[in-house]
Amino acid sequence: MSVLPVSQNKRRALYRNLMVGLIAILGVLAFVSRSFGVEVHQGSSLILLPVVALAALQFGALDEVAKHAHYAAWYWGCLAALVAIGALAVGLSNGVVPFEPIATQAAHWIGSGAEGGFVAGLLAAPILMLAGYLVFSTIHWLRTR
Amino acid sequence: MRNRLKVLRAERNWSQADLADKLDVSRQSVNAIETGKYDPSLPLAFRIAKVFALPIEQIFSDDEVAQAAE
Repeated sequence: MSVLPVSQNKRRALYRNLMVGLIAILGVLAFVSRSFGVEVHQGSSLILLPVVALAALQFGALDEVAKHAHYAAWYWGCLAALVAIGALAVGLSNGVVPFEPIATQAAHWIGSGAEGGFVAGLLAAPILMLAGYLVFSTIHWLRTR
Repeated sequence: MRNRLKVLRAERNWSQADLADKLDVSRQSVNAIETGKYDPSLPLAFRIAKVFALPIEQIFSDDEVAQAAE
């Protein structure tokens, strides 16, 4: 017999609350690492794995309206992010967008040199896509709350 | 697509949350369907019909058919 709630609504809430709790712990670990220079990579990885599993479980427990909202937010958010990335790339290569402030921030948060630049480039796309997703999710939430 | 969810819900004195519980979907989902922002799939439409104990066509109607009737 399953210990999980029978109601899809309650299962979804359980997964979401567990995920939010684990993400909050990740946030605290990131803050501790940044502020006090404590090594937290292994602990963070151990927490990240159940978060990914819970995200998959939660998606399975979503009703069709919420799933549709996720699809639409990912589509429009990622499309907006791709346009922003393209515009940024063109702007940077033409000198319209100043490179220095972006490079300074990337060096501060991620690291300098070729390695830091490579990681910053890798992270730029998903961060912008996530931001786009959050914007469109918020719009949907405001329309249907 | 038009629907009579709000009227049917009011007749039974159910809140959106009550209907959401009966359908096992979120309250926001009920709101999205009720306000026409989302058209439910056939399985969900049948579940809604079952909850209200009505034929599906008494809850949902095509826009053009509804306009012609008006």
